[in-house]
Amino acid sequence: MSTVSRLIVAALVVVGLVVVSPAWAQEAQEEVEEVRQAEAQEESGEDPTEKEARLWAASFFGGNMSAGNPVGTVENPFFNTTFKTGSSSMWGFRVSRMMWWRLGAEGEFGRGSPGVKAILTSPGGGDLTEIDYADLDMSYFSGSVIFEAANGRWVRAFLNFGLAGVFVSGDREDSDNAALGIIFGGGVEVPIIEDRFFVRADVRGLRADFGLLGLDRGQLVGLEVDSLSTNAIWTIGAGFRF
Amino acid sequence: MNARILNRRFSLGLLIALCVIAAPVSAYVPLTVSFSDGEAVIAHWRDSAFPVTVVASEGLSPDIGGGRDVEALQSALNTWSSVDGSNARLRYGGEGDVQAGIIDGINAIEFTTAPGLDLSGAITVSYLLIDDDGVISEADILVNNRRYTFNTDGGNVGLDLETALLRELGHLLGLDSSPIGEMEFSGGQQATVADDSAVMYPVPRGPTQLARSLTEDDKAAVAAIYSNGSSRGSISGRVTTQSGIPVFGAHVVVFEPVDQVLVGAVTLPDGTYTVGGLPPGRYVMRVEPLESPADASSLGGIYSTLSDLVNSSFRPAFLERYVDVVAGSEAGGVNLEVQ
Repeated sequence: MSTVSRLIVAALVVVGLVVVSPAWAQEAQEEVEEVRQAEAQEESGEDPTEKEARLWAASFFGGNMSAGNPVGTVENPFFNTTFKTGSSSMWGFRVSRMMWWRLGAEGEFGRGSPGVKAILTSPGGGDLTEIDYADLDMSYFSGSVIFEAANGRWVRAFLNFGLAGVFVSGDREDSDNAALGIIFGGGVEVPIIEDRFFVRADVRGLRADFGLLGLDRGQLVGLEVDSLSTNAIWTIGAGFRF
Repeated sequence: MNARILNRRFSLGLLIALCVIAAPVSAYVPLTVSFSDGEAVIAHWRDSAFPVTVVASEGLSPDIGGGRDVEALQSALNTWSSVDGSNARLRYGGEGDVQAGIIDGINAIEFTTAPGLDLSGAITVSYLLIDDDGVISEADILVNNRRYTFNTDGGNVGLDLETALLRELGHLLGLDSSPIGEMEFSGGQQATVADDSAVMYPVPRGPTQLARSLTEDDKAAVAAIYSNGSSRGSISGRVTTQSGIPVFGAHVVVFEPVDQVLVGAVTLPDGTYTVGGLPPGRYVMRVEPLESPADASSLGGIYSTLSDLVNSSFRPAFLERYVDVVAGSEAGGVNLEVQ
């Protein structure tokens, strides 16, 4: 576009702002928008419809997993012993694709080594002592439905709910186990470079009957308190859309 | 079933030659014998003594007919003889004209209805003949059938004979009373022994209460004293105060939660302890003072003779790590500090 043409367009914009727009002015304003979009395209070299076409996203993350609830308690006249998974750093990755409307699908893998804690108390509840009772590695694969709750210029927000396969292995005999569970939570994504690259923070709840220590899938011998173990997970990561 | 030292019917000559102890019927604790020089040894049968043959007085209990009293005795003998990891074997030698409390080379179980015998209300009394090395050479059991009646059907008239005999045979094998157990209080009723208490818990079971099988604490005790090899392991260490003073009479409790193995031991005067006969596994540990009714007075051996030195004024404490017990080996140096 020539300099003369740009000046004409600018003049038309000014007219459009200061007078009630007649039909010809409306047309001129539309022309201005077209010109601006064309200019932006020239500068960035991108198709303006490309943002909507980036339906896929992949990200890597690090974070923490820790027990949300004890798995069970064994009581005797001398001390109560409560077990739960411990807390550890974790890592993983996610891949998602928007499918329809604000809904999409997301696959996620995470791995940590939270271990197993034993919380010892006197029968009356006093003399609390927490000890590391066993090593325990935990991995999960999940498939979730994601809902894009917000999609602004500066942030996207997601909710997710799905199923997870949880795998645990430890240093105790028969402590290897696998179970199906549920995963739920959400996250926020902040674009950092042209909507192609982003940083993302998530929180998750992972609840599964994966068992501990060979305790018959989480059920303590003679006393079933809560066979399900919930792990709280938070992650921070970075990824890209494509 | 109180363990007491009795010298009924023993001659003075025999007392000079041998240390004669009647174990009171009271965490598994092997019966310790303390001598004048302060040394303590653990009472035990030699391996060559097994199977130890037990002869019952003729007719056994007058309360029970149809040979059911013999069946109860044989069942109790078999229970102690079938502990995994233990060499201990007891055998029924039939009925005979035997008396408890006399040294005749016969291990007798006498059911007595004789008047005038002062048993201080004891249900049963054991007599053990022990030498300076702690070796048991003879053991008798006197059953107080004068004051108590027995049954074999778990009814509310009298006490369960097998329950009473099982406990007393534990003493015959050299076990002291065990603090592993508790009393239960319900409503305004009299307290009773909790069902999961050790057979060797110092308080006898009441009517309708059956304890015909051994707990892990009982099994560990007999497996520790009469170990037959490598199927079990042990934990040992010392209990001291924060200033390093040994704690005598501290109850060390170990617990393996997967198989619910709960076993105890009591520290010696130098603060050392050994919890033996443990199935392999990962154990958590606690130390606490002895408390009534399983206090030092309910134990025999050095705990009763040195009861004034027993420390019962410290706070319970947990070991802040687990201990792995491996078959055939001892996890040593597991020390606990109390305040």
